[in-house]
Amino acid sequence: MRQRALIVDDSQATRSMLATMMDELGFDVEEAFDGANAIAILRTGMTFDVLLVDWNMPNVDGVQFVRAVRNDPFYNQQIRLIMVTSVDEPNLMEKALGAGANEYLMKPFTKEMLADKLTLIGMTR
Amino acid sequence: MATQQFCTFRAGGELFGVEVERVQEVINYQQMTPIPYSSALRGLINLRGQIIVAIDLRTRLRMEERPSGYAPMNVVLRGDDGAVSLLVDEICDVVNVTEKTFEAVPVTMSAAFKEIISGVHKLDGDLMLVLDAQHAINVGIEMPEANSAGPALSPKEAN
Amino acid sequence: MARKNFDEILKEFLDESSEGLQQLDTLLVKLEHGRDAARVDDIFRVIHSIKGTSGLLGLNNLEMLAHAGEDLLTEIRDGNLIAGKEITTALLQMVDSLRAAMGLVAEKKSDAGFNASSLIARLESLKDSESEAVLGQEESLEPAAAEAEQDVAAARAHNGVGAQHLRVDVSLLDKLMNMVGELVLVRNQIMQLGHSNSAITSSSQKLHQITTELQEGMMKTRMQPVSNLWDRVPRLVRDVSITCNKQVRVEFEGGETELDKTILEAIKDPLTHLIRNAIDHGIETPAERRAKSKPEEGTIILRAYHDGGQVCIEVSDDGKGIDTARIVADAVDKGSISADRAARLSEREQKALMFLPGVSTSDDITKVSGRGVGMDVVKTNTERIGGTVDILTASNGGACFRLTIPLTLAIIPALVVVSRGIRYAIPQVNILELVRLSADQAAAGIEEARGCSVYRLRGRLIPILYLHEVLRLKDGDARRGQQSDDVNLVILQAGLHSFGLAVDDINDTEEIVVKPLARQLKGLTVCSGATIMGDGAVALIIDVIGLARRAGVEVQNEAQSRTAAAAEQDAKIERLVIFRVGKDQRLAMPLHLVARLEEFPRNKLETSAGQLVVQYRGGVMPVVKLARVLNLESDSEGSDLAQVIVYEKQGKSVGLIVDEIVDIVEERLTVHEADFQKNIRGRAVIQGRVTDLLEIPHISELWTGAAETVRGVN
Repeated sequence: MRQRALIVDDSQATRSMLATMMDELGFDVEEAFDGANAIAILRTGMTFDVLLVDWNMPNVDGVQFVRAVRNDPFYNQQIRLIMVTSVDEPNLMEKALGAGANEYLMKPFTKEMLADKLTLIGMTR
Repeated sequence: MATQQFCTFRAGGELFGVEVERVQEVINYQQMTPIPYSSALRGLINLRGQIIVAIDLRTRLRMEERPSGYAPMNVVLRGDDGAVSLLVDEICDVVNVTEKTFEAVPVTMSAAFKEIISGVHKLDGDLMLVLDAQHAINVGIEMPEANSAGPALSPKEAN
Repeated sequence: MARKNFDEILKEFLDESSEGLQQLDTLLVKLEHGRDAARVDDIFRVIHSIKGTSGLLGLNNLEMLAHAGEDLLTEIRDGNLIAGKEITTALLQMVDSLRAAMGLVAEKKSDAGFNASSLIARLESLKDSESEAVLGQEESLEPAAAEAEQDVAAARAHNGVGAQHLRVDVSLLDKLMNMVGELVLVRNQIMQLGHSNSAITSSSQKLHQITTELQEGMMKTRMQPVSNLWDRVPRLVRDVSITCNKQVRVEFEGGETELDKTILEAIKDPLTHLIRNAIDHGIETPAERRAKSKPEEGTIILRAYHDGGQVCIEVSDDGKGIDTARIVADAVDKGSISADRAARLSEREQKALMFLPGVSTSDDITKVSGRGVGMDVVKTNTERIGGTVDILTASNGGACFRLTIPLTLAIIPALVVVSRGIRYAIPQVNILELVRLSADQAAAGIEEARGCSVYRLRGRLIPILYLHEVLRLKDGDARRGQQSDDVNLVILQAGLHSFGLAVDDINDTEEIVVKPLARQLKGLTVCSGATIMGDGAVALIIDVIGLARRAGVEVQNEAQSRTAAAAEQDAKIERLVIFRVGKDQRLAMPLHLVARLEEFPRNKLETSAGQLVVQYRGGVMPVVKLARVLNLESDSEGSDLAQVIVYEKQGKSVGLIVDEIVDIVEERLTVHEADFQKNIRGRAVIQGRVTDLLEIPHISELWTGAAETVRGVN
């Protein structure tokens, strides 16, 4: 059975790019256009194996979103979180990991780099 | 040798041919809405909800006008900016020709013909004039000088 | 979920980036006026997003520029730098440059060849500069747009990728719109089938209703708020005012007013022109404004509002207003109009001369507006979409331009008329009223003079065009037999002028679907499109402005339209109003001096401060009894109605009471001296009868001059 991923990003183009790569890596993909939208999707009870979350989004940013997911027992805590960021500041990565992300992925990335990160958190065979 | 197919038709006694690929369809005479200030642009036709221009091939070639009561046929051509109809006298066969029968435009032809005829094919007992469709439908309207007899009013009076 | 290919993703990127960039113009200008954390975050996010996604898509040159911008913005966000003029200018240049790059990418699917290295270097050096607050070298600054122009020139044509897309691809929307159009046609056809079967009737009623709602809904999907257009205005105002050394702020009202997106795009250029002109020619320099005790900072107000079925957009400023004399002088200078004729125009018409090609509103040639170039473009572009431009005077003495534009273009209400058996559609928006005249009324009401026809509509003189003459239609068979001799006039508004179009028959008003004319018919300026009628026949849509222009019902550029000799000859031909005062005194005055012909009940004539007056059009108009002035005996004193010729000069109206309006004629005059009589400038033979020409300027002294004179007369 294919695993399921949710991509949270305010850029449609980035979501499409990520979705294409994830599809090729064997995932079923859903998209959310911001943190609030992602929460609404998760609230429906739909389950996911991995969330790819943009760091920089309007209203609820990536770190806030990760924190919200990790601090609410309603959500399946087995869910893997990858923070997608283009900011090469170490303290931001730490912030993301501290908030509960399992990994981070820095833009620009390739499908191979994405696959590596997924392997790191035990998602690919 | 490669054969070419031409859709042929007559206008003013001459036989013309257009490559079949250029012809979208052939239809009977249609009601037309006349276009002001124009002679070759005969009218506008409603072709299944699309408005297309009908160009009279006789007028385009400065041939004699079609006798009144003689309904023309429409050869609907595919144009770069949509379909255009050519009004002709009667539709003839589709003919196959090869380059063997092709000749350049005779020097004696009138300028109006030379503009839109790209050559001739000698058929059995007939000559087929090859119509350059793109040039044939390249007609515009030039509005004549504003009516000198008409009112040229100063704004005071016009207001 | 279907995966997308690279081109689709690229398009998504271009769309979302253009949307983001469009906000940036406004946001950056606001940032310049004061730091606001939320605003910096918004700006930062747009650039950050572009940087991130362009990197993913392999658009590395674009990514580098966005990266440099992001670094500079980080400093601003963290409070290390303040966005002053120089930084804002550089950031705005970055926005322009990114926009240009988007155009390039849209075309080439890559950003190869896009090189913004000098801009990147500039952004980097600014990042490392001391806080700009201490710099203040404003005099060396150029407005952002001017400099970015060169980098951008190549890609400029592809600008504004995103503006052509809604959330739904516009081409899909257009296709749907077209289908709704077809549905409207079918609906019209069914409605015409007749109602023998009641079930069909009720179904077709329902179809009618649903189609109407669908059509309205479809229209709404194409509507966009005017604020979309205004987003770029603060940026424009900033750049232009820096170039002109002026201080200008801009205010907006009614940005939520919605317009069809095609129209919105069409008025972009006219609006830009008006704003440039307002800053360049309207608003004074700070020093000049100080001298006039105005605030140093000028104000431009953009206002949008609905007015009936139309939308009005006004651009007003509190500057020095419009120098009418200067425009007239320039129009005369350029040979666009004769001095003589210009002097006879009303103030409003004189102002309207600025819309003639080449006529300037200002003496100074400036970098921004050039020398008066553009007002004719404003007019042409606005009229192309069925709109009009008016010049109003702003309440504060500045200038105010008003664009009046239709809400939508695709489906319009139109009146169907018939001329020589052929149907034509006339857009309802151009129609003022319909007048039907019986043969007798027509014979009496339409005056013919040398091929010119004029109709008196409630005292107003309206030129008449015959549609079949203008279009040079031949007498069709349909004309014969069925036709009565009634005359149908469609009174039309073309810009500032109105005229009557005589047609053979007037049918109903219909909603018509406007279809563009084929390439071959582009030269047919009297038609704006074609439509399919309920019965399937094609009808041409009359372009009222084009028709008026063709028939010469317009301010004509005399120098262009006539040879000098013809104009000279023309000048000797005068059009005259013939009237009678006293028992048999036949008098004439030039028609161009007559504003209106009116009838007033005699009991409405009042005396005020010794002057005979009448309440007229919301004001009080002095009236003069010509019989008294000329020492004649009036023979109409006993009638209830007074015949009045309204004379207008310099915005003031005066009524001249006469005994009878006889005729309007056009004659080549040979004037004989008649100095023996006061108030008469000469005598001529008109229509075979001796007629005296009234000396208007002399009469004018009766009301503009001393009060005693007036009293003496009255």
